[in-house]
Amino acid sequence: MFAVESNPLGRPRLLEWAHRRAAHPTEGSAVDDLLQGKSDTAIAEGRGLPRATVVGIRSFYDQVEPIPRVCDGTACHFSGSTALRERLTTIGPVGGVRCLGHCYAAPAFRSGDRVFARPRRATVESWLAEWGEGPEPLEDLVPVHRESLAEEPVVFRHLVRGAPPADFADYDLPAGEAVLAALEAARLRGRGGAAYPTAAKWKAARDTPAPERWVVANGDEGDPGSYVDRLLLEEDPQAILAGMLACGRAIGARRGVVYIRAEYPRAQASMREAIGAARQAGHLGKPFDVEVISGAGSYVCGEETALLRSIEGLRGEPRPKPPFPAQAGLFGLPTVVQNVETLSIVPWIARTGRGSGTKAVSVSGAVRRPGAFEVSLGIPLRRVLEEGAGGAPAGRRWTMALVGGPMGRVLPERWFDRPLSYEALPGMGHAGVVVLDETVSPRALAEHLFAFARAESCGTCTPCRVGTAQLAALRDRSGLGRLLDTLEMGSLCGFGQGVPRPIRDLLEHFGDAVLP
Amino acid sequence: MSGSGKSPPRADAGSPTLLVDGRVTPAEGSLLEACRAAGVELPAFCHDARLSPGGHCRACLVELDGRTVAACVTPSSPGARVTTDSERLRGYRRDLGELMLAESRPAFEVARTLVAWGADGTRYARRTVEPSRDRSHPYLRIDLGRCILCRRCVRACEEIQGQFVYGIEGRGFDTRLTWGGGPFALSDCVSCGACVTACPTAAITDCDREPAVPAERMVRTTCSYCGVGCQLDVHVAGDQVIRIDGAASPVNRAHLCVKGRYAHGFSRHPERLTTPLVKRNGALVETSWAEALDRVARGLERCRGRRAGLSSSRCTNEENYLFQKWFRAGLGTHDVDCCARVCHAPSAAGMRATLGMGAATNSLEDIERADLLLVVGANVTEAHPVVGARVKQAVLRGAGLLVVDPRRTELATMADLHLRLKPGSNVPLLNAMACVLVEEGLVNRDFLERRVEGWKEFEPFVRSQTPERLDRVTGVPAERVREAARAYGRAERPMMLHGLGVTEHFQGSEGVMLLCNLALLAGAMGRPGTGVNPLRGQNNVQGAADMGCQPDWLTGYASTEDPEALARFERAWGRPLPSLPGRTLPEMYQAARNGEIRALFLFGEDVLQTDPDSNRTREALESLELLVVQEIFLSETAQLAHVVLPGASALEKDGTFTNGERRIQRVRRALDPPGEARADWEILCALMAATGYPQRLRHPGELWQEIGQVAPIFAGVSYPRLEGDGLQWPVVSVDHPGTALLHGESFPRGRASLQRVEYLPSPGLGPGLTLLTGRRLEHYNTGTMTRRTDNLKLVAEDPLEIHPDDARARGIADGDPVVITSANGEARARARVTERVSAGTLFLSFHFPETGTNRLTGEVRDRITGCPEYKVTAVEVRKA
Repeated sequence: MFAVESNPLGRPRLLEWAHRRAAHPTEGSAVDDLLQGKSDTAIAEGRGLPRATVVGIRSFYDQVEPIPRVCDGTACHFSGSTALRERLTTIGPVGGVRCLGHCYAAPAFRSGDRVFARPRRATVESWLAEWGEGPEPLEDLVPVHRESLAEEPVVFRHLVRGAPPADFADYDLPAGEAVLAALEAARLRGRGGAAYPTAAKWKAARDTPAPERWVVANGDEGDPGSYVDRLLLEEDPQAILAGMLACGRAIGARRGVVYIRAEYPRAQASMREAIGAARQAGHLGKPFDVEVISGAGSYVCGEETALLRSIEGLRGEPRPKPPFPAQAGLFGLPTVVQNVETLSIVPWIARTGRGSGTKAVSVSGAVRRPGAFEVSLGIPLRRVLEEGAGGAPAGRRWTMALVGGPMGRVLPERWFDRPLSYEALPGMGHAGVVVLDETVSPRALAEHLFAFARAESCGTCTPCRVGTAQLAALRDRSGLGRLLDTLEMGSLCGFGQGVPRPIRDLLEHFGDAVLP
Repeated sequence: MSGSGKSPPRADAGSPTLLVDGRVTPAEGSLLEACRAAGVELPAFCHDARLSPGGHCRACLVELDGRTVAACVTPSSPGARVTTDSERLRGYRRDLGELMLAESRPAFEVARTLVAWGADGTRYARRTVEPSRDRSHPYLRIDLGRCILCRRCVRACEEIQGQFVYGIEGRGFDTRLTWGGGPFALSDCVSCGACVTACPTAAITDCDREPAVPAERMVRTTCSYCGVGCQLDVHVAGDQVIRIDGAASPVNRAHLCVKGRYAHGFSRHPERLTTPLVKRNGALVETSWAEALDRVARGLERCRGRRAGLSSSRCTNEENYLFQKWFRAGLGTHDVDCCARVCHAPSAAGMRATLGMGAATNSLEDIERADLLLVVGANVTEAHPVVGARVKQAVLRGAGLLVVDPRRTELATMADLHLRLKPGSNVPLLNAMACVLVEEGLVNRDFLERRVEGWKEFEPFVRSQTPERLDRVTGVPAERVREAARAYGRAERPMMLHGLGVTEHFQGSEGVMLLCNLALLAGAMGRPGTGVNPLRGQNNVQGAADMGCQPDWLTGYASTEDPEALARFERAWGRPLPSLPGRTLPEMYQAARNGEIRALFLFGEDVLQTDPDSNRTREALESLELLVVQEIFLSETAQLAHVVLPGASALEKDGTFTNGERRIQRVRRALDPPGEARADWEILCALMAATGYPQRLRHPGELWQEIGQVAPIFAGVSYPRLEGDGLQWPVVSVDHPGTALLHGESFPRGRASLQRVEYLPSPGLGPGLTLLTGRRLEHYNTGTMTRRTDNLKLVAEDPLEIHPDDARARGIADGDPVVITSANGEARARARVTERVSAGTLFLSFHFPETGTNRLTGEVRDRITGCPEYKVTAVEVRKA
């Protein structure tokens, strides 16, 4: 029997407990059942879940129905996704998806487990013209350009040209205490956006008395404009697994979960393959094993408490903290939730004993050479865009950049010389950059952000549920300001609290062009 | 949170505090609790003190050291500075209110608060929900247009009832409450009303609240359905019950079930008996009280020496006391019994033989203290729904659950182990569990040595009862039995709850003894969270037996064979008591059929529908010279009576009921009896006067002095002391606090006694199908009351549960009308094909007279008490 999560403010969440008997990861969950196309009745009966609960779970996730889906992430949205969608609609029913992580080859769409994106050689128009009867003959692998602008690549140590392949020695790390000491000395902070000290989180989980603990890798990279995590999951899963193993040893966990969003089918396959290989080689299995759990389409599931609920097979709604996952997380047990990028650099830190001042930044939009770049934190954005991404395409002029996705920051071009760092640019989050030029008006970006907020709000708390749906209709700036205040002050989680951030930047820098 | 006995006393100066708007307040619980403790009425729409915090509505935002946080989900931290009112917060609240008005039109407290906040409902376009209203359910009313998605209903349904009816559907602005689609009446709802009590906006309300008739007064009383004894707040206007709320009490903690909360309409039903009736020329006609009483008195006089009475477990302690006193002292016979005979007499007998006292050893509050619940032969969520909800909550919180039942009851679906035994095999199953405890060293040696006798003889016997030897008899794989016994033996606080599935058997009393054996072997007795606890079926069946409505037991369980006790009663009652032993109910029928009894007084019992072998029961009743029935409706049985006396329902009189945990609780008059109907104690006093044994009584409360004199276990009971939560007997003196836990130090018989019971197959078992009978949630026993309420719209007939294999073999499809036949008679029902019953077993309730369930049941009875074996009847079934 599972231990029951004790909520210091009241009684345990009973519904969740009830589900825990049925929804254990190794046996799949109601969310897996949805993805496998099972009916509500079959799920309710098979899992012993109430009917209303199953209806609730199904209606929460938007990537369940297996139809072609056109990406409407920021890069795709401003790179012809509408034309792409119109073209696909002539073939059959088409759905939407917010970010397939192919922002560097926008627009993109997904069909089954394959993702098709515009190849570099083509424009949207020429690409669509190439098609013929349907998209199937198209190539579905558009590689990410990646390079390191830092002195020594850490995140990309196996990914840049000429680098050694994945290092299985990563699995043979020093004992838990030594890893913790190394992380502490390196002052590693989580790379997912919140920048919480990693060692402190691990210790909290280790020191919470419990019969079992969990390690969870957050591979729910939902921010349009970010695709570093996808790159890591697909091309260097060993590093992530080794980081999880190190964490498991450090906190005394026997099991881990890599939660990978449904929009990243290749990442799931690649990670599963890596787990299989690691098990065969004896690195995983006993005493520490890892499994892959798929998301089903919800941006909010990137929030750690929402992510844990999604793993449990429930609606991926965030809950108030405390308790923090390190105290009561997956199945009520102490859980370390760590972004995949963070985990991937843990082995390097543990082995070298050095700190890593780098961050992988993905760049898309109005640049010559979009791709992922490992940079030293503090580098001016313009250097990344010029040295890494090759500057603006001929004849185009940068106006602004969205940094860190729809809860991130909007930087006007004149701010491109500011340093990229958590301190200088609070809210830069995972630091995906979409560079925009004069073809995109500030109002158009605002409307894109409004639509994203409305579509992805989970509905758990009132300010965000209702407020995100009112943003687009407001026609006066003071009214919009009040609504942004309400969202920021009142929302339950970082989503509603973060929605105002880029909109405030837009209002500050482009005021009249956003709302007269 | 404060004041718990265990925490060390803290000096006020040293206890951690925080500042709420500058006021020093203890830093305990959430910030919301701290604010309320400081006297700040912070609105918090999604907060309900009974439920886990949600943090959904964000109305209780406060400033905490400069940040804004939702007070309901933020822990108090010592030294914090909380600001609950500022220009910023006022602006926030107004704006939040305007957002709320964009999605709903809430009522009640929420609407008032939004007005107070100055929220402008025209600021945003209002979303509409279609369809917003659901009125498919007879009691509940839903209007999603009023819903603010605070999820109190969702949590109430989860955390109070454990039903999980509601969910949240969609996301973002399309989020809405769901019950899984379709009309609400077809949802999993059990109509307990917990959601109604939780909803702050009238999005979910009920038929008793929606009309908003103001109540003139509120009366606290005790529910008159099952033996749980829920406390009710009855809201009354004029001569009508407006609505019933659950009261905060240790029994029901403000929760109720569909019967207690909603099934009150019967009291004003047009079919209520409002005048006495007498039989003239074969027909019952209205008459005066004078004539009716005279006819009863003369009839009883004519049948002197050949008269008997059956008291009513539905009526009060005071009435039961009067009834048996009248029969024993006034009419000179011990021929007085009550319906405990047909339900829990085996519990009393079995526990008395083993422990020395025949009542629940522990209290309902122990359900939360137990770490394992063993439920044997009890469908708790239907027959005792409020206890069922408590069991579910305990299990959801992590308590282990073992269920022994031939049927897959709701609790069985939640159990760690469901031992699905063959009907009638309790004895071998329980023996096998005891064997495992002994074999695997799971007995509490210390407890056995100090408090139990008979071990030496018991041990070799029980070692022979291996699960492997008995699994063909019970149908339960030996390994399951071992697992269950291990779980019970290893639990720190294992608590047993049992029902009529144990008692209503050929070896009913012996089955109860075996439950006691298990508890004694494990040392699970005399401690909180343990014990053997019969779930009493009728509201006052405990009290009827306590008051002496059994032939061989006087008030307070004094034996009619105890000369000292007899002398005490004779002194108090001023009459010599008969020396002949009395007859039990089945013996009374037998005596009626052979002429030894000529007059029978049935007090509030519809025996034609409840007692086994209805055809034979009818024969007995029709052979009488005088049949008096005191009733509130003209029941099947009353139609045979020579005189029918119109009594009062529990809403219409004063008195007390005693629930299954021995808790004596007040019953208070909320309404007047209709027409000329009278409170039953008044009728009994009139009858006592008319038969020459007058009882002076102005109010039932006066009787307790006398009851306390004759029965020491009630010596300290008086109405003033029953105010509040009542008293659990024994209450041996006026300053005794009552007894929540029996057998803490010793047993009434000194040492408890392990019982060796050999299994004897019931003579009722046949080669074909076996019928079980029992209750359904929506109806109560013969349905006299519940069929006269809208519960009828929820369930309108007794369905016959039949396993798909058995149905297929007989060409029966779900919904087909079927005829069930036994050696005794036949019954009719519609088939419900379900795996809730196992192959070879049928289940039928007995709520509807047209079904005729008890025409099937037979003469097999418990070997010790004569309790009928309702749970095993050999039958066959065919398509009608």
